[in-house]
Order: sequence, then C-alpha cells, then structure tokens
Amino acid sequence: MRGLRVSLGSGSAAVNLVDGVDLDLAPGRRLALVGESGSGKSLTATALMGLVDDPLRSKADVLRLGDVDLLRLSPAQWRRVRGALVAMVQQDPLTALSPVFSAGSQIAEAARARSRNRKEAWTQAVERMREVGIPDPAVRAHDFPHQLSGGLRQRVAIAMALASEPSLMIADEPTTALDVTVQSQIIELLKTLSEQRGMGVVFITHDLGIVPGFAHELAVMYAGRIVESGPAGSVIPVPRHPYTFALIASQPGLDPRSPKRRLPTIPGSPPGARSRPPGCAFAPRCPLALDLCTQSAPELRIVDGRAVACHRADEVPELLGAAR
Amino acid sequence: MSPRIRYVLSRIVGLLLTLFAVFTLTFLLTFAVPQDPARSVVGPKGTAAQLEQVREELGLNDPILIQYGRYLGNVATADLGYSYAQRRPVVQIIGERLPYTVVLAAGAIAFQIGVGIPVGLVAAARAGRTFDRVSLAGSLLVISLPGFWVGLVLLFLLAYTWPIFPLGGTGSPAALVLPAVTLGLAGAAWTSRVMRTEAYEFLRSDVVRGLRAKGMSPRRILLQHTVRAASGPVLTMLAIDLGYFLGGAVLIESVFSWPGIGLTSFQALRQNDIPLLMGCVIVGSVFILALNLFADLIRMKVDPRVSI
Repeated sequence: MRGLRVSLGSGSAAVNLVDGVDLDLAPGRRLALVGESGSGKSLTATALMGLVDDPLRSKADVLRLGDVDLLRLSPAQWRRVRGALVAMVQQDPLTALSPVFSAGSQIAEAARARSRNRKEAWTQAVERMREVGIPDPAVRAHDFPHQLSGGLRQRVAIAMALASEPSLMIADEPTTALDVTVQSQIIELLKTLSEQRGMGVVFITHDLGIVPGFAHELAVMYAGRIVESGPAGSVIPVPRHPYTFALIASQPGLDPRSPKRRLPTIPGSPPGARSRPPGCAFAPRCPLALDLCTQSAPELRIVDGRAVACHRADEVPELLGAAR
Repeated sequence: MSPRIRYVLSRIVGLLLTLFAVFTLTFLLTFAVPQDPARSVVGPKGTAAQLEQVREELGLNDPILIQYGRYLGNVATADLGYSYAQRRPVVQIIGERLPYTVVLAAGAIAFQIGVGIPVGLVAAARAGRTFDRVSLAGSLLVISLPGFWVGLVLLFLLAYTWPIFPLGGTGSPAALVLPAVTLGLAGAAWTSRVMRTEAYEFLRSDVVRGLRAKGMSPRRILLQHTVRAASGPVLTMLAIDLGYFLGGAVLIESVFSWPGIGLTSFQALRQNDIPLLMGCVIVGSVFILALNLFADLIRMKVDPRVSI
C-alpha cells in the first residue's frame, strides 16, 4: 500500500483522517500497526478491505495484494477478494458475530466460497473450530455466540476469518475486549496459524506490549501518519521517534526485578484531524522539539534499518536513551 | 422442570387470571346497562306477568353472587348464553361469524407482512434517499388517516366508480381485498417504520461489517441476515395486531358489511343483546390475551438472546 488517504468532506473543508500511509508486508509475515485511538489505524484496516463508506472516502496510489491490483476492482470483484484473499477479525466478537445464527453456521457461511455444498461447508466449519482450539467443536458449532465465553467467541471469529483460506488476515484489536490471560492465548493462536498457513497478519493494536514475540514488523501511527516503521527487533530496543520511545517507556515493565517506578506519560493529547499543526503533528508534545519541527513536517526516511519521520531521528537514542 | 417451561406455565397462569378478571368485569358491566334483560326478551309489548316469568327463567332474581357463579360455570363450559335478538345460542352465532373475522384478520396480517417488511427493508437499505423519504412521509400519512374513512374512499373509488372490487359483503374472494387492505394499512405503515429502524441499525453494526468483510453481497446480507436480525420487534407487533384483529374490527367490518365478530358485536350493542355482546367480548379478549402471550413466546424463539 502506498499513499493511502482517507478523507472526510470535500474541497477546502476536507480533512485527512489517514494522511499518506505506506505499508508493505511479505507473505507469511506479521505486522503490528500500533497507535492511539484516533491515530487512523482502524481506518487503515478498513481501507485495506475496501470497506470505507460514505461519508468517508479512501484513495491510494498503490494497493496491491499479491498479483491483484485492488485499485482496479469493481465492487463485485472486491466481494470475491474479501474473505478469499483477505479476511478480518474485529474487536468485539459479541457485537461482530450475528446473534441469530449459530457459530457453526456463520463459519460455514464463510467456508461456502470454497466448498461445494452445505454439508461440506459445515464439516469445514467444525474443522476450523478445531484448528483454533475450540474444545468439542462438533457440539459447540451449534451454540450461539452469546452462549460462549469471550475467548471462545473470538476463536469463532478467527475460525470464520480462516474459513476461506485468506493470504492475509487483518486483526483489528482482536484482544482488546478480552481478559488478559485470554489475550495471550489468542495472540499465540494467531501466531501459530500464521506460521502453519503462511498467512500474513496485520495486527492492529494500541498496546505495544503484545508486539514482542509476535510481530516481525512494527508500524507506529500518530495523527493519521506513520511515524516509525521497521523490523520489530530493531525498533523496539532502539526507537528513533520520540513518540515510539514514549510508547515503549510507558509499558509497565514485565521484568519483576525492575524497580517500581511511576509510569511515564506523554503530556497532552493527539490533535484531532482538523486541528493538526503545520509541521510535525507530535511537536507540541515532544521533549525534543525544535523550531524546525513546528515549521516543517518531517518525511519518512531510512535511518538505522527502519523508516522514521523525525528531524532528529539520529539523535533520539542518545538524547532519550534506549528503551530497554 | 426447565426454567423455560416454568416460565411458559407461569405466563399461562397469568393469562387465565387476566381472563378471569375480564369475565368478571364483563359480568359486572351488564348490570350497568340500563336495559332490563327481561324486557329485551319479551319485547316492548310484554306484560308484567311475562316479564316476571322471564326473570325467573333467566335467574335474574337470584342474588348477584349466584348469578356470577352460574355465569362462570357457563363460560367454562362454553355456554355463552342465548341471544335475545336472534333467539339462538350465542356460541352458534359466534361460531358462524368467527371464521369471517379470522379470514379478514389473516388477510390484514398478510398485507402488513407483504407490504410493511419489504418497504422497511428497502428504505433502510437506501437510507436518506428518495424511497426512504417518500415511504416515511407515506407511512405518517397513512397512520393519520382514520380506518373507516380509508375504507369508504377505497369502496367509492375501487368498487363504485371503477367496479374492480365488490361493494362489500363476502360474495367472492375479491371481496376480501379491500377490507383486508383497509384493516392492514395502518399496521403496514407501522411495520415498515419499525422494520426500517431496526434494519438501519443492523446495517450499521459490526455484524454487517463482518459480513461485508466475508465478501457477502448486499442482497444476501439484506435477505438472509437483516430480515432475521431486524424482525424481532416486528413479529411481536404483528402478533399483537393479530390478537386485536381477531377481537373483531368493528368499524372496518361495518363499512364493508363483513359479517365477522366486530359487526356482530356492533349489532348486538345496538339491539341491547347483552348475551351476544358479552360473548363477543369474551371471545375477543381470549384472542387478544392469547396472542399477546404468543407474541412473547415467538420473540423468545426467534431471538436466541432473549432468555428468561
């Protein structure tokens, strides 16, 4: 994806909620798209599925999945792509799954694209449920979503997304609505499925804590733009954007030996889409901001093996320290 | 005993209690009518001796409680008394007339479903556009029109001016059309509004986002998912409407000379035929109460989330 813009309104009143986002993902790799509420990460996911609706409008310079040029697709062609090439898991399975159909039938519905008949689709559905770790799937398939626990529900949603064998799965905050213990199970499940099937994953989250051990790549969004992106192994130990640094530093330390300390916070809050300052959107909250930062918005450039949009990217590790 | 069965049983008990209250009230109401039942039987020319004889026969001189007990006993054995005006058992009269009301009610409900649900669905699918706005204005207009007036206008235009339909009565199947449409028109408007609201919400839900993400076509989403998900409140409304219709739609039946319970009770009222009137009230109440309960039970069945 190159140059994604999602805008609201037209003419001089137009506002870019997503303001020029580039993303690359190789087959079978996992990308974590991290950002606060309002950063535009969910809209980016929606645009990846071609589901941006009135009154929002989405356009991109390049949007390609494998060989398929998504920009040239008619609505009917998009419908064939969705589910078959790219599938989505939403945040809250209780509201995302239909309450009037059983779990099995909803998964079977997704499987029908690849199955010959209803019976086979149902068998496939039960298989998918088994694959995502639902115990006793043949029985559970008849249950309704509200009869299942949150973790099981999300597994059903994942099974549904898997049913059409997509090459790319977009998970939009799939763990946010779940208990912490269940969260890590779901993340492990997604990792396993991705590795077994060679399926790419775009994992959208506001929680950096889930990134280590799961994501190959990391992209951090702020105010509709990507401010830093690159291999997770490079970005997390040595962040080069002050926002990334602050996000990492604000994660509660998982090391029980680390001294108890106040969690640092970032003063202020992100600008709304209409009130973005000229220059760098993060500058008003940035400890390293210079006059240059408020005057000219930094472009993404390659520094130390990752892309970062900060005028002072080279100095960030020395000035702020490495995160770990 | 499962909680569900227990719930249904408790609702049935509640229904019987309410019916009991209705019967009692109906009984008491007959004492509020300033007409001597004996006079109704004997006629304006009857002598005092004849009046007294009839009073003895009908047990009108007994204490109220005894009359009440007798009344309840009769109702329990489906003996609804003897019509003053027609001089035959009430149950016989009702048995003849009820099928007409049932047919009319069924026709009206069919119209509500056949018109209201699709209109509501399409309006939600094309929300904000012409069809939606026109159907909103149309529904509001229809709901505001008095039913009997609509019936009269339809009769005038479609049975008199252009003799497409019969001028009332029950001569042919075509005779059902105008009364059913008139009776069901307001309900169809309501149904379309409620359907539109529910479907509109549903189409904007995460469920539909997920369905689109699965690659489902808008048509399938509408027909297979939206109808099911949005129908709950509509079904409840329809069941309640059906109960009301089965109680006899007095005005509509009168306008179209449709010999159902509604027309019967109206005639009974005008003739001070208390037993027949009471019989109609009882039958109507039973239907209304039973269908209200049925509406709840349907809701429980259709929406798996609604539990005890």
